[in-house]
Amino acid sequence: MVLRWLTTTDHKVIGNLYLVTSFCFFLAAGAMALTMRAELARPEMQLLSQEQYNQLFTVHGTIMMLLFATPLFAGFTNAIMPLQIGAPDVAFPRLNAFTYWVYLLGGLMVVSGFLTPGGAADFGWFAYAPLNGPAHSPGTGGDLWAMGLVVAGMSTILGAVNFITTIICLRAPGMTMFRMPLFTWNVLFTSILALFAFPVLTAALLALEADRKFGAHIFDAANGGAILWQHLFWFFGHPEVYIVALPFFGVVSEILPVFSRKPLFGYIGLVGATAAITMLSAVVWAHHMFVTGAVLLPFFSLMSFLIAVPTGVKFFNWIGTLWKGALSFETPMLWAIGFLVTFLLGGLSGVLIASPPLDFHTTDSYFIVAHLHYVLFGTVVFAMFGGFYFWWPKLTGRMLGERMGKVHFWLTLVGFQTTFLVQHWLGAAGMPRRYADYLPADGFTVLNTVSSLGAFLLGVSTLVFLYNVWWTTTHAEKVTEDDPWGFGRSLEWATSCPPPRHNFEALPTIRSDSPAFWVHHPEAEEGAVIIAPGAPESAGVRPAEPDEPPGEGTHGMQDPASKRPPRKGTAPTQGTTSTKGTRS
Amino acid sequence: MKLEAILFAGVSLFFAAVTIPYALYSADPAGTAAVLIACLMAALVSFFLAVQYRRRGVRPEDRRDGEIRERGGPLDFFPARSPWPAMTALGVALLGTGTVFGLWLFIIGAGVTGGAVCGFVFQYARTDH
Ligand code: HEM
Ligand SMILES: [Cu+2]
Repeated sequence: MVLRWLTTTDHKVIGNLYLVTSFCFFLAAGAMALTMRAELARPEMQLLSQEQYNQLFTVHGTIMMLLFATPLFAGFTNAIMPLQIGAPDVAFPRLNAFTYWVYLLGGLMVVSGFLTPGGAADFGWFAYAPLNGPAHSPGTGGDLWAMGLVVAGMSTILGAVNFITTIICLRAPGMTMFRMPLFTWNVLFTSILALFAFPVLTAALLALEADRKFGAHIFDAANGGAILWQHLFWFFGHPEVYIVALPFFGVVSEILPVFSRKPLFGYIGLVGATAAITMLSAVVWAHHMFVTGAVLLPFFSLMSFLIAVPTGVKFFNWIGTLWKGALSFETPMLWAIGFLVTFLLGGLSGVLIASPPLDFHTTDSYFIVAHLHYVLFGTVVFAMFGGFYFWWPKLTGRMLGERMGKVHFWLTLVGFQTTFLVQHWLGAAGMPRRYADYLPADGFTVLNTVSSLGAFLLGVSTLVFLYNVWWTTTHAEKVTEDDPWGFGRSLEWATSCPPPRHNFEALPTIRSDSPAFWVHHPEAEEGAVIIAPGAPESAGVRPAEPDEPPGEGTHGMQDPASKRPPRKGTAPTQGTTSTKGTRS
Repeated sequence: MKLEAILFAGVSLFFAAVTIPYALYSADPAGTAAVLIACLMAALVSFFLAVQYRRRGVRPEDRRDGEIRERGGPLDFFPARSPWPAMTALGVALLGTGTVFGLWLFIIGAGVTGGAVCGFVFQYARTDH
């Protein structure tokens, strides 16, 4: 078994390895978070020393960003993307295996810092200079952190090359760029972003290690090294936030149409918005550096506000997809809606702190902790579970239990909001970030206790998920049909669950962005018609102007009011007013 | 590959448009270098794809009426199994830990990586092209 894994080059197996490993890292970092929350529940130090607290938030942040969320992207991409474009595998299967193994070993290097006498790295996940240097943070933990991230970072860089090549070179005939599912588009943009961001991180980390080990003085404050580190780190760090967000936007964009029984509303608009986010997110990095007083405030503030525009466009598209759809609330749909709610709140507080005067007051407070968890947990965790429930049959051949899934969802939603909503007020009341303790007189006690209780509810909800996985694996029946959800659209639903070694026994003809839907619902063609601008060639959709060449539509980015889908049922064809394709 | 080339050209243009004001107003050499290199890298990819497009023309996956059977026959070579990726990764990780713990480990890492890379390269190398 282990030998089979060690030598595999199958993208589906590698995808599963990635998913399982990153989920284990998620559990570890979650346990660290619970330890921190337990410490913070009451004033005074009960469980940990201050040093241990510092190590915990550093490694928690590092794992969540770099060893959980980023590899989770690689996991979902490996497992699903080649299926969606009708490819037999990724372009470089052996390189693909290599990326998994460097990720695993690099990740283990980072956490092995806990075993060294000085403990793990404790300078925060963004490791500001000069704190990260040999004078202030001696000890092997910091070195293992830096080198572990260099090793694990190779996984993302090479993975990105692999994914881009696959998308450009291995699409099935007829699968033009503008027929690719949104998830695949988002993978493409994420990979491009990763190619800009990760090499910068690797270079900065190697320079840091040279400082720490070999006495270089690259990040010496005397030479302006402190600001240099911040620039380099955040030139990676902000895009990283989108590297872990975009793929999950893609996941949600796959789930919503299936459970609304409607094609994605504004396909071109979504692709355009994703492109805009990709590029803008590479030029907003210094909004993390407003308080240094050393950056071009107007430029970075303007760019940060601008990025809210394409993000808002995405929201309109998602809501437009739900609008008048035949909605049903299976677990993947619940998670997708949980994502919409949570990410919306995180996006709103993000607009606030893009304004430097407001940021000056909230930076390094719990307001930021609340904001970052709304954004990150909202996208990564909610969409991850959505993706798990949605694609579990594709990954394993079994459906996860629905009832337990619903319990899991509601516990997570309530637990999450309880944990993090109150932290906005804690931040506004002045509680600083990265503090292990506070005084009873500070008045932070009640809200901290509430937050910690919420965190433990989150812990319980994760146990429900693990139980569900165990129950499904041992009790659930095998899925026999290609598309157990009934309204799957993209190509992965046109092959068996799980797919054969090279993915397809036979590929269906690809004439739209929903080839699997065409295969399973040939009748939808005549009956239900939605006239949806921006989604020119989906099954069950009629373009606004039939003779307008798709791909060049200018509808996508118009203002939302004019994008409202024109009324349905105006189909001039065969009089069938309601087929299952697009009922409202 | 035309669309793909245009896509990367767009990325490159965007970074060019950002580099100019940033270089003028920010007094930040690190950031300027980063956006400039981003622009050049995207231009390189775009250029490569454009050349490929000139050489190969429109492929079945670029045509809206592409038929699956146009791609009959073996698509490409996909190696079934290989121990070398894991081996190479082990070597790289040893190089990393060697940097932390000492030269002896680094040298072992260099040996493992070198051997594994050779294995990687020659596993499917054929002489009968
Ligand atoms: C499972 C629920 C989670 C809980 C209870 C939790 C809790 C915490 C706590 C207590 C801190 C330290 C706050 C401080 O003292 O400043 C923290 C920091 C952080 N968390 Fe989480 N977290 C959770 C999930 C996540 C997820 C899913 C992500 C990202 C994908 C994430 C990313 C971060 C980051 C980047 C930091 C900042 C670390 C630093 O300051 O260096 N967390 N979290
Ligand atoms: Cu940012």
